[in-house]
Order: sequence, then structure tokens, then C-alpha cells
Amino acid sequence: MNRGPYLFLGAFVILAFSWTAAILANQLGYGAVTPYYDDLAGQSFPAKQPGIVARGAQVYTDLGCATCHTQQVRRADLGSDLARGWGERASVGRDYIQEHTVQLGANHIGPDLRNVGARIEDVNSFYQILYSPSEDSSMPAYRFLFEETEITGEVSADALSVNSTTSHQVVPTERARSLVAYLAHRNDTYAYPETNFIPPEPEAEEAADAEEEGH
Amino acid sequence: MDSTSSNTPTSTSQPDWARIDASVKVPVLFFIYAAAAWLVTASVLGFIAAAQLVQPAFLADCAWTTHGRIVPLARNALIYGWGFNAAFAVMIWMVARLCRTPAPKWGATLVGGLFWNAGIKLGMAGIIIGQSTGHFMLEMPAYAAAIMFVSYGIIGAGVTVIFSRRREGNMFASQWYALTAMFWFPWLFSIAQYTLVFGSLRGTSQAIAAAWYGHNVYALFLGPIALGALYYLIPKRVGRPITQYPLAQIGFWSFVFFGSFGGLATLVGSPVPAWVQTVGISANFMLLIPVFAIAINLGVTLLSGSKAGGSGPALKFFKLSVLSFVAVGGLSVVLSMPSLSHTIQFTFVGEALDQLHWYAFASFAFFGAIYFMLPRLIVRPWPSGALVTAHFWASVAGAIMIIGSLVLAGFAQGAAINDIEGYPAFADVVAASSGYLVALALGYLTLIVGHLAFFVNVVMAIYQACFSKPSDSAETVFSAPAAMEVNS
Repeated sequence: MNRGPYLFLGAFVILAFSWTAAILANQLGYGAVTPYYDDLAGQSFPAKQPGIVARGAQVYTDLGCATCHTQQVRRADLGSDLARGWGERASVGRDYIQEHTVQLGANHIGPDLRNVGARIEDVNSFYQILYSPSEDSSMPAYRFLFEETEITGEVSADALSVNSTTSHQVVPTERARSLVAYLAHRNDTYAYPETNFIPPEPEAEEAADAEEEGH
Repeated sequence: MDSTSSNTPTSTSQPDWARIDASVKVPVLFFIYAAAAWLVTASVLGFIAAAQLVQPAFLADCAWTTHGRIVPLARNALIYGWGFNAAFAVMIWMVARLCRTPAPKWGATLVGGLFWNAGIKLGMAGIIIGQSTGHFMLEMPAYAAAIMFVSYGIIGAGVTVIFSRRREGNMFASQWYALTAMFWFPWLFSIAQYTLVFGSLRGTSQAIAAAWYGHNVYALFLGPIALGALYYLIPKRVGRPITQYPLAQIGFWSFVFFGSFGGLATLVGSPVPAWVQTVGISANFMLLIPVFAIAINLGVTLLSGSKAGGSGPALKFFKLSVLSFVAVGGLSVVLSMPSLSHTIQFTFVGEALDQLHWYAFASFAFFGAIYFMLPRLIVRPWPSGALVTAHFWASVAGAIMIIGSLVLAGFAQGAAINDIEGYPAFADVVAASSGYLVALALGYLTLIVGHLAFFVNVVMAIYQACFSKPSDSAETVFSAPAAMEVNS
């Protein structure tokens, strides 16, 4: 292998093969997955995200929330995600196709947020957690998403119930509202045909087979 | 190093090394300086990020310094700042030497280097003010990436010109690694930018592309250049040819082939096709072939020649680098075992493996290469032996603390997450790993000390080269290479 052309040909083939297999094949295959039209419901799933949710996704991305939070629920045999109540079912590729920037995340420094909108129903709870997380949490307080304003007339409807003075209130900024709308929208409950597949109860032999295949 | 066999990078007729070194001196010294400065920046940012894990309120009141921005900043400073600048320095110098030709006078490489670093600064400013793209290792916004892409092209063109003038037809292993890496990176980078930042991929295809790109920055750029430096400098340093040189070819092709799929293993359990995950795990398993071949080439050469080569910082760093390379290859396989991967997936262990790749293997190889080449470029020894010693021990101690605490924290975290009865609330999970994260922050403090020592030494060396006359002629330098590494 002492001739430049062979070396560069080999280098070209390796990257072209790797790219074809890892990126192109996936894009041609499951990258073409479309929303699922439900005849009974008369609409497609996953539904398009409302504008405020899409703006909230940008806040989630630019603050780097994915550094500490995943948004992917693993199958019961791969981790405790379902047992911890992080979702009703494992995530599937179709869940993500309406999202501009998919934020899967890779570290459970905080809990998974894929279905946080199902767990926390009151939006004020989101504001409360963002403004002052519980003391034993490793999440910082996101005070810069809120502003303290003077109360003119009535107290704002979404003012936080925190220790503010009688003349001032803490209200979420536009960014905080978008972010919370996005978080409240994290809720994959629709059952697609592919999610109705229930993996066989992990009898010892089958579980071992699945593991060997690297699932 | 005077061996006549073809498995050393040195042929019988000695070219004028001093002239070759002098021809690349200016850009290479610039890249070494920029790399050292970024290294200090990266370790400071790494410390801030670790301190925030221990004390969440630390620098949390401003959006610019929130943890979710500091972490990608630290990673970008380490990879694109330190890693790439060091790789450019090693690549230019090594290719010029192996092609046995002085580089033509071409100021554009330096201009490319200045713009590369300006691009990173701009990109990091973009992350700070909230314009991150949100993709792993591609967080810098597109305008910065465009500058980096063009300036990489200029730097790469300079290396290509050197290669096209080569006087030595026989290509040594180091050249395979350095030249193919130089060719791969712009391709990888443009594919990743096009598919992710300019957005032609939908859904979790994005996660596959990001995992593929992120790992290939290591497997097809930083890793090959580090290996190229080890193949070139270990024989020089220990005065022996590479043991079992024919294995180098197997090692090279299998490392880059299987390595290019290794990133997919991080997607196990993710909502991506099962075959993607299987390919990633299989690739990591098959990587044992190149790890074995390269370990014989480099490790046995080091062991068999260690007496002849004496000591010195370069050799010490090379030994640890080869050790880390073998360790990370083995660990990647062991941690793919289902029983372990169910515990450590989505924990700090993933970051520990990244740090083993980027820091303990690639960066240590670059440290060793810089300790070898800088004295030859400035034709005088390192200004301070004490700073070299401080850098070496602080880097080793810092690396052990960081990687060790990440592994321990990851196992504690993963075990706690899977044990719902023992740790019902997530706060309990946090408490399980918090003790180790203190050690992580201390590890980064240690690294800051070491990297500052390195940076000061580099600045003093470059200052001396600019403002004082060399003490010895080049001939003296090359007759005693070991003595050149440190002012003893």
C-alpha cells in the first residue's frame, strides 16, 4: 500500500460505505415514515406541533436541556423507564417525525421528559419547578426565564405563588411560556400499529436471544 | 532510529531535517500555541460544568452560563479548539517530514489557522447567546461552521501541496493515517452540516447522523492522526523499528472501517431501527482486531525498546496513550454486554468513554508529539523542566480522577435508576452519584493546573524562539534527541 491513489480509493470506499449504510439507508428506509392517519379519529398522528410548542422546542434546544434530560422511553427489558412511569409505552421513530430538532439526549442526570406533559398536568407546576426546583434536585433554578414586575391593577393570571412582595409579582417571560407549552405537549400516548406489538414476556431463553442480537 | 529496514519512517539517506522543520515552523508553532490556549479554556469550562453538577446554583442566574450551554462549550473547546489545532500541528509537521520535503513558502496555512480559530470563537459565542443547533458535536451555528469549513480547506490544501512534492515514494503507516484523516474530515463535516443543520433529515434519523458524525470525528480524524503520530514517533523515540510492521496495514484498514460504525452503539434502546444498534455493537466488537494489531505494533515496540529510549515526557505520554487506546477498545466491548449496558446506558459512563477516547488516548498522543517536535522547531530545549513535570503528573492525575469518577458516578446512577424500590424518587438517584461528582470537579481543577503549566511552557518557548538566538546548531540537536525534550 505504497501508492497514493490506492490509499485514497480505499479511504473513499470506506467513508462512502459507512455513509451509505448508516445515513442513506436509514433515510431511504425508515426516514420516509409518515404520520399515521386514524380513520376513527379523523386526524393524523403525531399531530403537527402548534407554533408555541415549536418555539418552546427552540428554547429547550438553546438552553441545552438535553444535556441532562433524555426524551426517549426504552422497552421494559432495557431499563426501568416504563416502571418509573416515564411513559405508557416505549418510544418509536414515528413519535419524532414532526420535530425540527430531535433532542433524544444521552444522560439521565434528570428524569426522562418524553411524557412529562402526561405526568404534570398543571402548567403552574412547570413554572414552579423552573423558578425554584426542589432543594434536593440537581436542576438549577431558571430565574432568567421569569421577570419581576410591579403589580398594576390586578395580579397577573399566571403570576407565580412565590414569596414576592405585595407590590411585585413574578411572571414567566415569553420564552418560559413557550418552553412550558412545549413541555406540556410532551405526551406520546397514541398507540401506533407498531407500538401495539407487545414483546413476548421475557422468558429466559427468548430474552437471552434478544440480548445477543443487541436489542 | 537509524535502522535501514523499511518499517521505520527513516530511510538510509538522511534528508535535511532542520530545513524541513524550519519550513513548517511558523504555522506549526501557531497551531501549538492555539491548541494550548484552547486546552486551558476547555478545562476551565469543564470545571465550571462539573461544579454545576455539584452545586446547581453555580453561575445559574444567567442564561449565558447555564449548565446546558457550558457543557457543549467545554466539548467544542476541547475537540475543535485543542484537538484540531494539535492535530493540524502534528499533521503538517509529520507529513512534511515523511515526504522528506520542505514545505513551500505559503502563508495561507497560517491564515487558514487564524480563521479556523476565529470560526470556533464565533461558534462558541453563538452557543453562549442561544443559537446552538442542538446536535451533538455540531452545536456551533452554521455561520461559524462555514468559516471553519473554508479555513479547513486552506489548511488541508497546504498539506496536499507538501504531499504532492514528496521525495519519498514509500508511504509509511503514519502517512496513511494522517492523509486519509485529512481527506475524511471535510467530507464528514459537510455531510453532517448538510443533513442536520440545514435539515434534510427527519425524526430520529437525526440522532443516527449525529451519533455517526460525533464518533467519526474521533474514529476518522483525531484518532487516526494520534495513531499516525504514535507510529512515527515511538520508533524514533525508542530507537527501534515497529514490531510486526505488516500488521499495521490490517490495523489501519480495520480501525477505520469498523471505527466508522462505532458511534451507532450509543443508540442501543433508542427509537431507531434495531439493525442500527446491532451494527454499532458488532463494530465495537470487531474493533478488537485493530486494537490487537495496533497494540502489538506500538505496545511491543515500546516495551522492547524502553531501555534504549530512556525516559522523557514524550515517551511517558506515548506509553499512557497506547495503554488508553487498548483500554478504551476493551471497555467498549465489555460495556456493550447486555448485563452491563442495561445499567450504564444514559449515565456518566458514556462521557467517561468519550474522555478516554479524546483525552487519555488522543490528547496524550498529541502531548507527546508536541514535546518531541517543539524543541526541534525552535532548536532549543523546553524552557522549564519543572513545568513539563507538573503538566505530566497533573494530566495523569486529572485524567484518572475524571474518568474514574465518571465511571463510578455512572454505575451508581444507573444502578439507582434501575432500582425503583431502593430509589423511588429521582432525587434519591441524584444523591447516589453526587459524591463522585465532587471528585470530577477536583479532577478538572487538577487538569487546569497541568494545562496552565503546559501553556506557560509553550508561550515561553515560542517567546524565546522569537527573541533570542539558539544556543546550539541543528546538528547538536539531532544527535541527542532525548536531551531536547526537556531542559534538564
